[in-house]
Amino acid sequence: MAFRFLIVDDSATTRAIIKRTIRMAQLPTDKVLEAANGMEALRVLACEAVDLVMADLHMPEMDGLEMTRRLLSEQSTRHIPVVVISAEPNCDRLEQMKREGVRGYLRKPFTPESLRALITETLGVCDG
Amino acid sequence: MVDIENCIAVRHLVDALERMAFISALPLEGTASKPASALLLRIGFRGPANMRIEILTDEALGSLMAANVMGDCPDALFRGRDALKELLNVTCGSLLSQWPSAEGRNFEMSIPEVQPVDAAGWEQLLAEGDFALLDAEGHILGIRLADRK
Repeated sequence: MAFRFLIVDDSATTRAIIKRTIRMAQLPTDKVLEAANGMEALRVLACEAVDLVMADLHMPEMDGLEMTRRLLSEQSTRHIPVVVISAEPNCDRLEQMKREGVRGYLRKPFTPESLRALITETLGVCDG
Repeated sequence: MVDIENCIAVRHLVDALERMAFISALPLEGTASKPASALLLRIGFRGPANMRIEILTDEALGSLMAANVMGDCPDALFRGRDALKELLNVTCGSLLSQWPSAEGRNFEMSIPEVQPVDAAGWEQLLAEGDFALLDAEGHILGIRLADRK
């Protein structure tokens, strides 16, 4: 099975780093989509099916938490797991993130191994 | 002159640069000449400590980072500032996540800002003497922690 990912981050550099790291992690990939904020992500998800959303927390227009709330509130998107990849150091916010339904968290900077572990664990696939 | 080994932010900066863009940085030897396009980047944080981190560097380092990350993408040349802002953001988050004796580590980070630095500004910033200076594959890279203004 090959996965379809959506990367949501306002930094083009970060989106490129995550794409590169997905390749380095040798994850079976069908398609990697990109969005620069939560609002754009919702537009992408209105017409594309994905297996996992990887989002930053702090973005203009719509942040990662609000985007997660919107996805969970819609029948058509509530099954899509969201993980956060961020530099966020605030422990309260990380706890809030979990309460709001975010399935996993990876702190920047990250390694291919840690990204692979996050993805395989979140998608429940056997890593080996 | 800043003792690089004792500058807490340096380790986080070097690690972020290496992991994000495969660029290594070593202590600068020789003089810190002003590059053609010098930039000062700044991010503030509030919480158990209220401070800011500043990076003084060459815009060309940002272009190199973007090229390393994006490969042949034509946008890479224009993404230098974005790459440097993300480097500062990641460095700050990494530093704060391991901030010594900060209960709860409940920091709030600001949005990174960038501004060009002219020759006089470059001299003045270096004369303040608190930047830890590195050589990142031929590009100057300075970092300092300061009280938030």
